[in-house]
Amino acid sequence: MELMTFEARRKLSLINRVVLVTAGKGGVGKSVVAASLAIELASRGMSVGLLDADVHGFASHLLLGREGAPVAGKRGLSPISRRGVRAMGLGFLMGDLPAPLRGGYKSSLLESLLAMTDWGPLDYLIVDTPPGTGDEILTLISLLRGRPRGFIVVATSSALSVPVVGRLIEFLRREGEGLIGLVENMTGLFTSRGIEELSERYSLRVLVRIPFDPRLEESVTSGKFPEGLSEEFSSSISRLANEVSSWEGWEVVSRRSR
Amino acid sequence: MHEWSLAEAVVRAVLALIEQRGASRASELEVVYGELMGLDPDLMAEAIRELSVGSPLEGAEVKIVEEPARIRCRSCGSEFSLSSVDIDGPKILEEGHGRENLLHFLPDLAPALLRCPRCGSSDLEVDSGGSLRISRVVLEWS
Repeated sequence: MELMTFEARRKLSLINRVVLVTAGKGGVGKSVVAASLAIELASRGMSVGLLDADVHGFASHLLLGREGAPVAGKRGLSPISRRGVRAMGLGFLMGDLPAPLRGGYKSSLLESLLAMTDWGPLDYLIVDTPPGTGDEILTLISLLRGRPRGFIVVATSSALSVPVVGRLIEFLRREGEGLIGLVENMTGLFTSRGIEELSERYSLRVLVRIPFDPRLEESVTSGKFPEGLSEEFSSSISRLANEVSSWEGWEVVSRRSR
Repeated sequence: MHEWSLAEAVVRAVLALIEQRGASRASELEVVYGELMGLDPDLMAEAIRELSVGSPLEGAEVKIVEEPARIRCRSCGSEFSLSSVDIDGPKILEEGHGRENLLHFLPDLAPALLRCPRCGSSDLEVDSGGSLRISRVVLEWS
């Protein structure tokens, strides 16, 4: 009997909605989008968790702050509470230690992490998903079967990023996964129409265009994230949170899960 | 020592199985845990028994078996046991119990937290002793 799978699914069943923030390639700002979305939803009074599922490129602890560490209690590992969000991921557990893990270990690690983390009941779990279509996203899709979930695809207009994103969208569609929409990040840096083309080709809405904000570096290194960012950035995140909350796909995936 | 939360998972899983099969109770339960998890088998059994009170699992014979860790280095081929290596890395504070190695909570991190004692590589394969499973359940219908 697969105990970790059973327990991971059981803990996930206490979560109302799961938003998976994905990207084709790394470096497009997925973690910033995931963390910002989580903080914004939490600021609206929702109970929100943030899972950094990236075993190698975990960055959420840099965005939310490293103070505090997960503690083990009777119900499992407690996520750390920062900016109203309950966060968990290897960054909060391992700090700067590298995690050289082969594929199978990544899958079981993610499963065990979900089985061991005591989120409790949540309105939203935002999952910062590693780029691409590898072990982690496959494991997450398998564990979330039957649960209300939606995918956000973060991309930049870079010609290098767009084809990879196309493949990710194809994969998600093939798996029958619900896509909330595209998020164009770092708008203004690239001049191609890549995102529009993706949007047309796959009939996917562009939920929001987030401007490149040179103040992000300072905001993160000063530990004040998401403060210190531009008004455009904040209002983009606010619009994204509106889109996520009002996605009509939640009704569909909820019906399927009953 | 995080026996309690694991025991809870075990009990829930077995109760689900009992319900699924329409059984009236379980009379025997065997749980095998990997040495990497650093569990106390007596505490584990005690936690399971306590959590079973008032349920169809109450009174079942509970056996907890430790599976020794066998680790293999993919880089040099060396095979070794847990006692041959130091566990590096962070410790997690356990309420009321002091600090516990992260490896015990997430044994899949073994390649990240252990090193081959012969060549120092992280490219390790855990052949056994890295997980927990319910190995045997005896159900009764009456």
